[in-house]
Amino acid sequence: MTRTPFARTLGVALFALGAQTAAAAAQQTPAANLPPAQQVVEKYVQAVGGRQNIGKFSSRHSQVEMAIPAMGMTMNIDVYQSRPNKMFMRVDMPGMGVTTSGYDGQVAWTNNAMQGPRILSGTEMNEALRQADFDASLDPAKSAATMETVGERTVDGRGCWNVRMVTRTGIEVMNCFDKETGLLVGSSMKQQSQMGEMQVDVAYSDYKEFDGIRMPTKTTMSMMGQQMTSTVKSVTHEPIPDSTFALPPEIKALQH
Amino acid sequence: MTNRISRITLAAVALAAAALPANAQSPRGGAARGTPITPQLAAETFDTAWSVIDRSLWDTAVVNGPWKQARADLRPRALAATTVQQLRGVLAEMIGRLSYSHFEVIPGEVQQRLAESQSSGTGDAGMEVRLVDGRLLVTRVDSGGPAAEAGVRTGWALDAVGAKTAREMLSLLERIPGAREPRGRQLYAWMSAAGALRGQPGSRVRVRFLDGNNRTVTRELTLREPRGVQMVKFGNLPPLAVSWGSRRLQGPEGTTAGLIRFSYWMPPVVERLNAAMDSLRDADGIVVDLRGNLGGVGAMAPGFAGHFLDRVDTLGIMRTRTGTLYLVSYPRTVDTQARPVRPFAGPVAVLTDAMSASTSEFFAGGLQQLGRVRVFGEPTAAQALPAYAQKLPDGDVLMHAVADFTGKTGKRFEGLGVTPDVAAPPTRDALLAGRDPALEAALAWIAEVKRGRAPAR
Repeated sequence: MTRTPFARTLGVALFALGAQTAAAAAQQTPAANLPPAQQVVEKYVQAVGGRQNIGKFSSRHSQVEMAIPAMGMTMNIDVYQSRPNKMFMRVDMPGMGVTTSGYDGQVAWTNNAMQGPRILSGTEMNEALRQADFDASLDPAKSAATMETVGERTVDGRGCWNVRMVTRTGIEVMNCFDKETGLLVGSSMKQQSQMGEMQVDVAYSDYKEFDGIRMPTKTTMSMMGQQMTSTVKSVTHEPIPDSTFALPPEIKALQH
Repeated sequence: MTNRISRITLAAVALAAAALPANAQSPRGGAARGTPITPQLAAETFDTAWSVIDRSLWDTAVVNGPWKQARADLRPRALAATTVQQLRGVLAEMIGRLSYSHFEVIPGEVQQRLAESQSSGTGDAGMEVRLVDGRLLVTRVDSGGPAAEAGVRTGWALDAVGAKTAREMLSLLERIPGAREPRGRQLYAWMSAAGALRGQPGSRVRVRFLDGNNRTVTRELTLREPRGVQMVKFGNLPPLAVSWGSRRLQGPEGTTAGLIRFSYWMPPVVERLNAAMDSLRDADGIVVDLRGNLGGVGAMAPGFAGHFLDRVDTLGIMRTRTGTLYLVSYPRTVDTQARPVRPFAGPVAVLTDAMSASTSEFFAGGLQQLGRVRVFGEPTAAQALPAYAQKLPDGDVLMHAVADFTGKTGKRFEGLGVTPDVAAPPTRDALLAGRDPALEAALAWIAEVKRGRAPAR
């Protein structure tokens, strides 16, 4: 299964697996007229607050409400992140129970009553590592092995540059950066995992400032014919105790 | 946000259209006849329902042909509807053009009525009635329930509930297209009888039976809320009465078996299933009784299956419009107390009947195709597609399937069902004798496995 950094909800769907479809939908623009990817991404970094601001913080706690409106379902999500790459996420879905997942710097894991506790490996592990990267969401050049501007398209009425980004582990996503503001407004990808491959399209909007960093507070994702919306309720950068990222007993039991 | 949680959530909420209480399927109750609807709301509702299916139906041949035609044919009639009921008729005709299960319009007032019933509770007669050899027979009497206290016995034939005779109940089935084939007939007969035997707690129902000697016996039952039942609301589905239980049985030749039974695959059951597996891990075999289990949350099936698998495996394959998803099952190697354990390695029997639908078919058929369980009883409902429940603008809910579904080996359950390895249908004689042929066959097999006289798979 594919895991994407929750930071995406906070604004950056930087990499997922195998994105080709966005290119097909994009307008064909002569390559000579396309801005270099580094320039597009640098504009984004500046638009969200600049490297100096981004680098100021070592911890982040985000609270998000995620909904599938048409199906009458909502869930509350807490994400704790710590530099360089620790993460703990708790998803509470009324009627479905609680799912937790995390990365303590060495072990990536997930746990819920329905599926049971699991230690991740392979592509799931790679994805978890990417998610856990504290800086990847706001400074994508750090994580990208290659970046290329491949065209332009429109997301929610905003013209944007389509940039294909590939991580060192081969995870690929088509990110679209607003021509005017530089902000990320859309992502498109084919996610691959043990559950299979699925086309996913994401739109980002309602950017707001949190401690000097701009993040989208609304994310709309389309997959399997359904729309899911995420709304950021709060983002704080207070220090997070290391114990937050410790492996739960169920995961420790798997190591024996 | 494109994350694993989203994917799991979407996969998890794939539901069973069949997973509706007996009184939720039919729009007979609730709204007054002729609830008015504006042309604009009728258009919005029709367009939403049509578009949702147009976007998500996996069969593009249908989407590009008959489905487009359905819109052209029926939209004008939808716009001309002046009442909610007329619009429902048009929507029913529209989804009736699809030859799949799990397409249903659930009236909004049914949802409302069931939601209201949560506070007042649901009165129940404490017995189960099924269609056996053309007759409505009592197949289960709950210990300590109203029927048991009134001396009702399994095998008795239901002759009338109040003023409605069993003959009338069964004759109504002739008008329901889905009840023309044997399994559908069983399902609708059960729904009809179950609906007649429910009401407000404290209300009294006069029931006429034919006993084992075919003598007329009348009993007055005071309905009450059954023990161990929880009303569960999940997304846009109506509230469902979810029950569960597990116990240890003595089988032949001193064997022991854990029996696990639950009425719907709904999240509140998950913790109890895990706890049941903890307590039954040392049994010689496990019997999972899915008779009457109409389905529920799809993701529960691979999760529960993990208790019986010693390696990661695929329980089923969902082919959607945009890709293929695999219901992956992971071995459960940690118990509820965070202690390392091994998945149950002994024989696992699954009991099924014509009311075992959707997620129950994912589980039974998926593990059967993996060679991990042996299925006993009767063929399942053959209604096995993952579906969502989407709210429509007029307040009704559209249940719609979103993927084709097969087991790992590619065998489809939709329209076919799961065929038991050992056919063991109930008979009146067995019921009158207090026997359960499917359970007996399962226990006998477990004993054979323990003695080394039969394979464990």
